[in-house]
Amino acid sequence: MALAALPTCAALALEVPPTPREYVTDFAGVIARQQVTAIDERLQGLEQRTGHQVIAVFFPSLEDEPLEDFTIRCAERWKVGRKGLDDGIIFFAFVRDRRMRLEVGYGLEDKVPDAVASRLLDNVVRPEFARGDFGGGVVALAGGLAGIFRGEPPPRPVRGTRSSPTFPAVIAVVVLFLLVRALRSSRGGWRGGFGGWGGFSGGGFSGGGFSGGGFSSGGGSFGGGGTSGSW
Amino acid sequence: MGRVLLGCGLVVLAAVLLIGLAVAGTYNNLVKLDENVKNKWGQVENVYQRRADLVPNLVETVKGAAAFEKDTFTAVTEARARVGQVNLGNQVPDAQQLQKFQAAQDSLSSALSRLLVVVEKYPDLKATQNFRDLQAQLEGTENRIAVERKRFNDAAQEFNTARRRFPTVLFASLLGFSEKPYFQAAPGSEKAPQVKF
Repeated sequence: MALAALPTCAALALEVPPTPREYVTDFAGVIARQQVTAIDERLQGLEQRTGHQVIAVFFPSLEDEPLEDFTIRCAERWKVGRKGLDDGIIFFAFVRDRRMRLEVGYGLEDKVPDAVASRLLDNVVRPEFARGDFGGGVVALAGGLAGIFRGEPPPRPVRGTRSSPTFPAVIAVVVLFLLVRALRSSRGGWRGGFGGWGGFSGGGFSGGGFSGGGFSSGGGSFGGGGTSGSW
Repeated sequence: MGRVLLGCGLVVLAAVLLIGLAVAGTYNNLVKLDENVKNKWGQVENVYQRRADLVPNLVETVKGAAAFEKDTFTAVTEARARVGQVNLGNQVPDAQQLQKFQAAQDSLSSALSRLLVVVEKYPDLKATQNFRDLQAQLEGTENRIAVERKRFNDAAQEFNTARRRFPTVLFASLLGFSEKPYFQAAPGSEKAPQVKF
């Protein structure tokens, strides 16, 4: 890691891909298409039930990149999990290197501490991967996580999907009205100057969260928690 | 004559105001970056503390199965005590303090490495779920340390760059902003003690 990136080496380094748009991204081509769709739906269902975002990404190879270095850079770029709650989990698998890692967001470090993550990888995922059943491994992982999340209260509705712009606007109009009256009474005639009242933006209509299909990240952050494993 | 004086006075006043605003803007920016560095330092201390907290449990678990390795346990426990002594109390350290802090943490790293090497001799212990859990926690903590150190270095770099810019550099020390130190990677200690089964 002390080696600075020489120009020739930099060209070979594994690049952090753009934020995935599916819950399962298979760059290595090791999972059948139908299975990918099935697992995708399962993880999407997990998010809808619990609010936590779990995604899986398969790479053909690490290409000599240090594992944890690469995965944290991915996590920092993709921001899986809800902003503020930081409840994202990313499963990485590097097929030719036979290495995997579960990257756990800050907010889930209590429910999925390193020891638990390690057991998930060793006892739940590894047996499937060792048999070559990569799809099965992810399904098993999803099941394991679902079990951990069971019994949680349902997630709060995502802010912004239904916030009305009218409330702040009503307040603004009332304030304006009172201001005008006050001014008018103190000095006769105060005209103009109501320009620049733009921006009644309501409580955030940003699109993070339920987009009804496909994955979109919620802005969560990661601290390097989780565990690495191999098969 | 009076008019000229008044005119000059106004120009001077305007100039002073503009400079004042510029300085205020720079100051505020430095404050923001400084707070970010403090925040990241807090994170660094957190994760190092987390590692120190793992040590008693680790020692107890290994002691049970490897009672004869007293020297190794003593070394780890002593290293942990030394780490507790270099307490910076949430203050961002200067270069010298950081060096001391890092030296203490590095000696705990080596002591832990040696402990894990010793465990190699006791395969029954290595195989227990308890030990494997502890090992997962230790590796996880080392990874978190690496992540937070990097983030601290990034925050320190942002601050130092802003501070050294011209003309900020002229009055930064006057305003109380000192240069932040960086974590240096000691050769060979970047990687957590790896034990392959």
